Amino acid sequence: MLSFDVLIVASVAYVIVLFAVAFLAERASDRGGAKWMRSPIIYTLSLSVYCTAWTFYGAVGFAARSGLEFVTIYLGPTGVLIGWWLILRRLVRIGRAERITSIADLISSRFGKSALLGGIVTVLAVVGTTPYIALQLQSVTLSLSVFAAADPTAVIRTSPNSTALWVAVGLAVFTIIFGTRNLDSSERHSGVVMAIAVEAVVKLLALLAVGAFVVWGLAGGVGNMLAMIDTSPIAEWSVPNSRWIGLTFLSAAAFLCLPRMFHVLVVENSDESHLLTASWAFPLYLLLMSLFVVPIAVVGLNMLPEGANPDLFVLTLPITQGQNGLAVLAFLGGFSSATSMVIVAAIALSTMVSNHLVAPVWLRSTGEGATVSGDLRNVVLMSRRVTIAVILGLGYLYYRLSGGGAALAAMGLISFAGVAQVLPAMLGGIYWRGATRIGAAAGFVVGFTLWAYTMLLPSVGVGTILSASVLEQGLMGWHWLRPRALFGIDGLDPVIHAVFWSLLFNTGAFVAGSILSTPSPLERMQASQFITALDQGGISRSWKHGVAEAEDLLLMAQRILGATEAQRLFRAHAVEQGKSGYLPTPTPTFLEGLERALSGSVGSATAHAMIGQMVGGASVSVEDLMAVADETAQIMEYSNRLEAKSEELTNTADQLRDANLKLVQLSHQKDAFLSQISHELRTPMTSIRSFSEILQDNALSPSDRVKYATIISGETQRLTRLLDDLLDLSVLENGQVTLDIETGTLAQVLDRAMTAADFGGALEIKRPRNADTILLTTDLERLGQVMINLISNTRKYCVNKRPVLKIRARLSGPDVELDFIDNGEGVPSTHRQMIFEKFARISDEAKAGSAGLGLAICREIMTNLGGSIEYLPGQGGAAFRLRLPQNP
Amino acid sequence: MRQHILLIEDEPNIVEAITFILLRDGWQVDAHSDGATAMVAIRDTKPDAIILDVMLPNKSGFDILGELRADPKTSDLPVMILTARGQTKDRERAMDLGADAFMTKPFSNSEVLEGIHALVGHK
Amino acid sequence: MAESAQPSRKRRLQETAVALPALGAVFVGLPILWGGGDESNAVATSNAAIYLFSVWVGMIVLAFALSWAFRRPKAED
Repeated sequence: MLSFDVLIVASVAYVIVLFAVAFLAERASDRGGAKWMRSPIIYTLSLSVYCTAWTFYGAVGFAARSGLEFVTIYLGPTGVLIGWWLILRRLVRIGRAERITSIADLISSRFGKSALLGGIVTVLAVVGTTPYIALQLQSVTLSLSVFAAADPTAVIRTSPNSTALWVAVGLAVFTIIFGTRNLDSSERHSGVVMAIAVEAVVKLLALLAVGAFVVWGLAGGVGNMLAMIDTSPIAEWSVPNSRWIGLTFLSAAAFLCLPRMFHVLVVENSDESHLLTASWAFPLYLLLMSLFVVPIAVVGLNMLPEGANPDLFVLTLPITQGQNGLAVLAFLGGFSSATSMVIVAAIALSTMVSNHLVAPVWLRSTGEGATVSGDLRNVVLMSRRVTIAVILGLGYLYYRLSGGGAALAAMGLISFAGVAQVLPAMLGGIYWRGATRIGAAAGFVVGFTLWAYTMLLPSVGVGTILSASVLEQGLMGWHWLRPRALFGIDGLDPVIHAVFWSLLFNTGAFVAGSILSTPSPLERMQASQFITALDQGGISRSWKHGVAEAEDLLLMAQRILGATEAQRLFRAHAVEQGKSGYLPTPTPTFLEGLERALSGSVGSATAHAMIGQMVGGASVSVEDLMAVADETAQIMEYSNRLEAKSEELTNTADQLRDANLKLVQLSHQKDAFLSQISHELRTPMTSIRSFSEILQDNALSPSDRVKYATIISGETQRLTRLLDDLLDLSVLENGQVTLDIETGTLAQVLDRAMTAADFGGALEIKRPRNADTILLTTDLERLGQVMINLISNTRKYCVNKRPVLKIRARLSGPDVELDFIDNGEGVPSTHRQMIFEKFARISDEAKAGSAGLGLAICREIMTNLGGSIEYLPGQGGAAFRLRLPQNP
Repeated sequence: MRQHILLIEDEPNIVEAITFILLRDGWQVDAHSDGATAMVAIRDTKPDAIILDVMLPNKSGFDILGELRADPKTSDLPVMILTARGQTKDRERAMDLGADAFMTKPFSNSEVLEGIHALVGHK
Repeated sequence: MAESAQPSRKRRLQETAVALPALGAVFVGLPILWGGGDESNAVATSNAAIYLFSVWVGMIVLAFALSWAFRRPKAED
C-alpha cells in the first residue's frame, strides 16, 4: 500500500526540482548561454499550458460521459496551429514589431492605445480566469484526497482547505520569484518557460504511462481494447452536430484568446520560425495527450465500482491495481498540469493588471506622469508581485466559496466562452483596417453581457443572481429573453446557445460600431502598422556613394513623406520640367518645393539641413544622411505610438532632439569642411597663377625665372598632394577601400615606412626590439601609410633639438598595440580631441606645409583595418597608440 | 615719395608674389605674417593702404579689420581683403566691417594692382 | 530559370499553408454527416476513434511536410 507520506515527499521533491530547473535556466540565460532553451521544441512544450488539470483529469470524465466529444477541446488548437500561416504568424509578427506584452496590450495598442479597451480586457480576463485557477487548486486537493483515502494509516492530517492554501502560496512564491524577476520589455521568462517545458514532458509521460498500462496491462492489447470499447457504455457515439462544430470552434478561439495562451504563443515567442516546428509538433503533443483517454475511460467504467468519479480514473485505476509508482507519476502529471497553468496565467494576468490598470491609474494620480523612469518600473514590478498574490488569493477564495462543487467543473467551457469574446476584435484588428475602438468596445460590451446573461449567471446556480422565474419566463417576463432560449429558440445545447448568440451579437456590434465611427489619427496609424505588419522587413539598403541624385532625394523623401506622397511630389515637378518619369532635375525651385514638403514632417530646420546635405555633397556621405532620415522617421513613428507610455516619452523626445542636433552639426561641419577645402585649394592656386603671370614678363632675370618656376612646381605638388589626400580620405570614409591583406612582420612594415618617410632631418627613431617577432595579417601597405604619417608628423612638429621617436610594440589579446612617442612638447590637452579631424592643425600652417589631413586619414585607415588610433596622454612628448587586430 | 602698402598674409609664396608685383609697379611694400606685429607696424608707419588676408593664425583678418575701424586714427585707412574661402558670406562680412575692396584668391596680378590704384586714388 | 521558379514555389507553399487548415476542417467536420443528426444513427466509438485519429495523424504529417518545405530554401543558401 502506498504511504501518503511517500507521495508528499515525492511532490515536495518534484517542486524542488522545478525550482532548480527554473533557477538554472534563468542563470544560463543571464549568461547568454544555452541557446537550446530558446529552441522550437521548448516553445512547443511551453504551449502545453493549454492542457490544464481540467484536461488531464477531466478529459477522461468527459469521455466517460459523452464519448469522443472530448477531442473537440484538442482539435480546435490543432486547427489553429496547422493554420499557423493565417493567424499565428501575423500575431507573432505584430507582437514582436509592436512589443506587445499581453492580449490586453494587443487590443489596446491596435485601437489607438486605448486605456479603456486595455482595462476592459484585463478585468474580463481576471473574471474569466479566477474560477479556472480555483479549478486547478481543486484538482490538486481532490487528487491528494484520493491518496489519503487509499492509505488507511493516513488519518486525514491535512484538510483539503489547507492543502489548497499551501498549493496557492507555493505557486505564488514560485511565480513571483521567476515571473517578476526583471522588467524586460519583451516580457520573456526563461526560467518559467523551462519549468513549464519540464512539466509538459511530465504530464505527457504520466498520461502515456497510465494509458499504456491500461491498454496492454489491463485490457490485454489493442485488439481487446477496441472490443472492450465496443461493449462499453460509450460504445455508441451519436455525433452531436452543433456541439461538435461549436466546441471545436470554441476551443480554437480560446486557444488564441486565453491570456496564458497568448502569453506563451506570442509574448514568449523568441523566433517566428518556431511556429514552423510547433505547427506539427504541438498537434502531435495534443494527439498523444488524447490517445488513451477513451481506453482509460472505458476500462475505468468497466473495472471500477459504479459511482466512481470518472474525473479521477487516471489516478484511481493505478491505485486500485496496486501500481503505486504509476499512481505517483499520474499524480505528478496532474500536479504539473495544474501548476503550469496557474503560473503562466498569473504572470499573464499580472502583466495585464499592472500595465492596464495600475500604471494608468498611478500615472493619473501622480499627475505629472513618470518623468523618472525608475519610479514607474518599481511601481510596475511591485504591482505585479501584489497582483500575482491577489490572483492566487482570489482563486483560493473562489475555491473556498464554491465549496469545490460540481459547478466548478463546468467552469472550463464557461471560461473559454468568456475569453472568446475578445476574438472578433482581435481578428478584426489584425485583418481589417476599418476596425475602430468604438466598434471593439461595443463588441466587448455586447458580447460579455450576453455571455454573462446566458452562461455565467445561470451557471452560478438558479436562485442566486438570476431567479428561477427569470430562467423560466425570461427577464421581466419577456419570454424571448429567457437566458437559455434567447429569441424563443429552444432545444439548443446551453453552451452552444450562449457561444452562438454572444459571439454573433459581439461581432455584429463590432462591425456596426466600426463602420459608424471614425478612427482617430493615432488609431489609423496603428491600424496600418498592424495590417501591414507582414509586408515590412527584408528591404535591402544599398546606395551609390557620392553626391545626391534625384533618385537619392526621392528615396529620402519616401522615408519621410511616405511613398505615394513623395512620388506624387516628384512626378509633379518632373512634369513641370517637361520630363517624364519620377525624377526631376534637382533645380533650386524643385529643391525648395521638396524642402517645404519635408518640413511639414520633420520641421523646417531639419528639412533644410537634409536638403543642404544631400545637394551639398562631399563631406557627409549619403548613407549618413539616410541613417539620420531613417532614425528621424522611426523616432516620429515611435513617439506617436508610445503616446500612452509616458515613461518612454521623455526618452524619445531626447532622441529626437539629438537627431536634430546631429543634423545641424553635420550641416555646420559640412560648411566648415567646404570652406576649408576651398581655402586649401585656392592658396596654392593663387601662387601658381600669380607667378605664371609674372613669368610671362620677359624682363625677368634668369635667376628670378628659375626661382619662380620652382615655386610654381612646389605649389603644384602641394595641390596634387592635397587632392590625393582628399581622394584617399573620401575612399576610406565611404568604406569603398579594398584592403590588400598580406602577412608580414612588423619589422618589414617599419622598414618600408622609415625609408619612405626619410627625407633628411635629424630624427632618431628607436625601433621596438620585438618587431621581428610580431606577425601581422592586414593591409601592410595601409598600415605603413599610417606610420609614414606619424613619422613625418614628428619631423614637422617635434620641437626638441635632438628629436627622438620611440616606437613600442606589444600584443594585447588578439590585438597588437603600437605606440609612437616623441620627445617634443606633445599636444595640449585642449587640442587632443580635434587633431584627428580634417584640416586640424594646431601650429601655424606654413610650417606644416600640408593640409592637415594626415591624422584624419590615419584614423580612417585604422578604422578600415578594424583598429583604432588614439592620442596617448602622459608620455612626455606627443604619443599616439595604434591598435589593430593581429589577424583580420 | 613712394606710396606705402602694408601686406598681412601668412603664405610665404603669396607674400613673395604680391610683393614682387607691387614693387615692380612702384610701391613700397612691408609684409607681415602675424596680426599682432602688423597692428604695431600700422600705427608706427601709417601705410597708405593695407592688403589683409582673412585666414591668419591667432587673429583673423576680420578681427584686425574690426580693430582698425574702431580706432579713429586708422578708421579711414583703405583696406583690401583677400580670402581663399570664396564665399559670399565672407564678402558680406568684409563689407559690413568696412573693407574698401574684396578680392578672392586666386586673383590675377592686374586685378590687385587695379584694386590698389583705385583705393589709393580715392584719397 | 531558377530565379523565376523560386517565387512561384514560395507562393505555392503559402497557398498550401492556407489550404491545409481548410482541408482539416472538412475532415473533422465530416462526422456530422454520419448520423444525419438522428440519434438512432449513432456510430461505433471504436471506428469513429480510428477515423478521427487517422485524420489527426494525417494532418500532423502534412503540417510536418509543409514546415520542412518552408525551411528548405534557407538550407540551400
